[in-house]
Amino acid sequence: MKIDRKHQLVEKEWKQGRYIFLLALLLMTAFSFLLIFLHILMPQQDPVRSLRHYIDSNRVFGQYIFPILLALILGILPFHNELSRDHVDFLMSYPVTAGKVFRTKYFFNILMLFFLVLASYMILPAPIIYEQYDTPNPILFIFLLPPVLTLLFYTASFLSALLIRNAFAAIFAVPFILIAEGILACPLLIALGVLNKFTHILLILLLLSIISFIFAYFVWRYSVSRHLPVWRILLFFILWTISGSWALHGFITIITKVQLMNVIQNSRASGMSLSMNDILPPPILPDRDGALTYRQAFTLHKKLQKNQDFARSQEAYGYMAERTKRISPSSRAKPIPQDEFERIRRIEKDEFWKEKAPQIFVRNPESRKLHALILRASSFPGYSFEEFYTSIQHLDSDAGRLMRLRDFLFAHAYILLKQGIYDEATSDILTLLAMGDAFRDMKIYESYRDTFNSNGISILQFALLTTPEMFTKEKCIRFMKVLSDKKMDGKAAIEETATVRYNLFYKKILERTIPLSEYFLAINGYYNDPLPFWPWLGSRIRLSFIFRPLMMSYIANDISMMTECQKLANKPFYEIRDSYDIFVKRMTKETSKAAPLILFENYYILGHYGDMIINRQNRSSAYIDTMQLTLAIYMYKKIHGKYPDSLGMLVSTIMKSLPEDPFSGNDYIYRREGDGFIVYSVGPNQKDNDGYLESTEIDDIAHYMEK
Amino acid sequence: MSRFAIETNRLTKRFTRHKQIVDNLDLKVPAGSIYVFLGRNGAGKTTTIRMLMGLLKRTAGEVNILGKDPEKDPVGVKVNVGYVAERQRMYDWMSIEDLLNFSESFYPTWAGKTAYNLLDKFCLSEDMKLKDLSRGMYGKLSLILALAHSPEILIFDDPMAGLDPVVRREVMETIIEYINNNGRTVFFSTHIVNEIERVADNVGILENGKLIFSGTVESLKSSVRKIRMVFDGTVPADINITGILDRRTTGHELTLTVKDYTQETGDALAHFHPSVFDIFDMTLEDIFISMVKQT
Repeated sequence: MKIDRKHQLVEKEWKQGRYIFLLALLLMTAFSFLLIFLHILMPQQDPVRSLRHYIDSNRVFGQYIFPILLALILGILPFHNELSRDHVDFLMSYPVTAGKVFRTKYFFNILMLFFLVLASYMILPAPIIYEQYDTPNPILFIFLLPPVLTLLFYTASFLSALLIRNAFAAIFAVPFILIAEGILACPLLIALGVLNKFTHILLILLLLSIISFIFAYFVWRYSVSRHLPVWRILLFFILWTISGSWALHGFITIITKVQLMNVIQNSRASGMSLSMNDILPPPILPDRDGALTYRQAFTLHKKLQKNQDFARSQEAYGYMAERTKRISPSSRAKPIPQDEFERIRRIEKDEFWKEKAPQIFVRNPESRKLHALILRASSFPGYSFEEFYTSIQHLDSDAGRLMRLRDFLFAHAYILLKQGIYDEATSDILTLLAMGDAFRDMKIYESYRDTFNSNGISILQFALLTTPEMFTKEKCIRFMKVLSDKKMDGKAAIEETATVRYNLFYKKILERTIPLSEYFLAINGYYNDPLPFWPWLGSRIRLSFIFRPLMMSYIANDISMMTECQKLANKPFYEIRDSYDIFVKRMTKETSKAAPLILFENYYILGHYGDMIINRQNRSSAYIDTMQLTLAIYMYKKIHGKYPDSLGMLVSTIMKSLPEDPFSGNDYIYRREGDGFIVYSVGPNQKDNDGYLESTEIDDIAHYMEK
Repeated sequence: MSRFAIETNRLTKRFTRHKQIVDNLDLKVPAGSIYVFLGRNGAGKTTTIRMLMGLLKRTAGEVNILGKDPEKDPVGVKVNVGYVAERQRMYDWMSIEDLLNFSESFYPTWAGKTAYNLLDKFCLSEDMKLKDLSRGMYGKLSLILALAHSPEILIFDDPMAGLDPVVRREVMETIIEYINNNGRTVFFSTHIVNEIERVADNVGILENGKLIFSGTVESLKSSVRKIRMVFDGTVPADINITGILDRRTTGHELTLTVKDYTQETGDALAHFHPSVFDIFDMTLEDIFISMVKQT
């Protein structure tokens, strides 16, 4: 009689794990119903967005969170159940090898787990959003990454359960095991280069799983034949983890820093003046010798500046500069000399920002943010205010700050309108309309082009550059059509075309850099709404251990592309025609390399700052919409000689359709006030506060236009 | 196959460099015999047995079970061994039937009939859950598992620890009955020796990892004797022969426990002219106690 021992072991595993398995299915189903229920129950202001949110949460749960949780549970509990020495002895007293027991246990649970992952795909329907995975093979990405992640977590928890024979402690030890495995995988990291390719990530995850599998097997063998000295392993493990994670951090930092330095040097050689400080905010130092930390100095500097105590503010500024210099001697940072500081102060005090900006910015929180940002940017060591100002003018700043150009443009238009310089203001208005995608109908553009706009193309370019998300292929085609209508002379046309191409490249870079800088600014508390303590702490840890080094590598990639773009853009179009195609191909490849990082970044941004960012997006779209409406109303008056009675009157003449208030889902509120008017969004509190902002922090987002 | 069912050669286990649990152990268990492995708690019995089963890696030495090394061929050894561990923990979530089915698949020689007969005998029902069993039932069940596949060798690691006397007797009788019917080799580790004394052929006494006695029960019993001497006067202080394990003086009476007793020992003691000179046989338990107390 042939006896199938494996079969019995498998049956035992199933009997042992079936309740967890069924419970997991039940929970998953319950969770799915809960989501649907919540979706029905909650009042929906914006059905499209909340639906998307609903689908997204399903996706995240279905593809990542549930499988990982299950991996933890299934990895730990079955082993935990029989890891006492007596149980092991009992099982091993049967004529069966330790290896067979281990393999059966491991692979059967994996099978169960993969089945659950599959089930989670079905129960929590996960839509495939190809755009999110900018990789040559999204199917592979979507269907391989969750199982591989699950495998990794399962094996790590398996190992953890073997090492630590307490289920709870074992769950907590899993991250440490993963870190430790990361250190073991270092040689592969070196072999494969920087962590920027999807296949590399998959390979590394698999390698980590294999490492833990082997490690777990040996631990199991050890625990079968000899009792474990737990405290010694723990001690070893802790020491290993601490030293190893620092080593990993240092390792990644060094390679990415070297990479970044190379790229910066290359870009300098090709005529772009970039330094580390232009790209990264200065590192923040711990307080080592009782002196002020960078952050403390920064806060102090800000505070003193606000109180107009410029002498002491400069002193604090010196501290910041010193701090920066001490840790990155290779960067351009140097203490700002007295006269330069004076100059900055003068600009702030006497010129535009001191006199005009407050008038413009006072009513609008977004504008106030811009103001604050400009002030802060001016206070980075090694970053001169003039440079920043120039960079705004020449659109040559980094992407995060470029986004604020909209605010600047609005401010500019506002001043011009106030001063009665209508022609120039109209250029700005047109640009802003284009930015807000109100520029839907080419007829509107064409009707205004001849009348108002002698410089239409550069304005449109400007709009495209400042609002990359608005730049579609169709627009590009239409734009090219406009160009050909214009009948420029040969060389100018070619140069213009080359510039458009350049913008097209540049736009791609912006798309990728903007969320990153948003995230970075949020973490560093550069916005007015700082994070609560725990998310802040978590983000600090991630930032210093993982994100900063990875981001450097990411940015290095971008800079090298920007350099290439600039090289191309400086040539006439007929010369770059051939290299253009090659470049686009390369670009696509580079982008696909960065896909895991995009995912990584999306994960952190959405996972931890989702609400904040959505809120901010709503605020900025409300701001832009009201701005657009204000300008459209103004244009209505210019055409018809009076302000409209309602917003509806703008439709058909000025705008194709009215924008919706993202906070309420209704139209924006418009009211005549005296000789002028006000148009506003109800704001995050969703209450009509008559357009006033000053009483609370969260309030209406409004635009006034006085006569 | 050698004539020994279980044979070890300088078997050693060290957990740390200085802590030697089992020290150069030379066990020889003849095939078909009943070997009682005696020792106090912590003497190294369980460690030895776990090494015999291949459950614990030995530091040095050789182990031979039916001609096979349990570390090199664990399956080949275990398929022929019925084993009851010291504190056997089985899967509490199983029912008895589950457990029997589970066990059956491992052994080609599994005899379901034996198992069910034993279940009936012990008043166990197959649909009982293991978690509901009492200590005694648990012990009986582990015995059934060990016997049901008719192994060549039975290794019991103190199967009766913690059982009440009634169950102990019942278990012991089952084992003896089984041995009588099948003539298997039994390796029996215990420190409760009353029940096994009647049937034991060989005995080994382990103390601090060393075998201080190994041989047949008869040779042990004939070499360790209790001598009672009554003197007319005071007990002479210079009675000093080799191998005294225990000496007790009560008034004029002297009781000695002597190991390696021979006729010469008796003659030497007779020199002191006691008025009464008795030699007693001792039980295995008494011998064990006096031997381990001395060390």
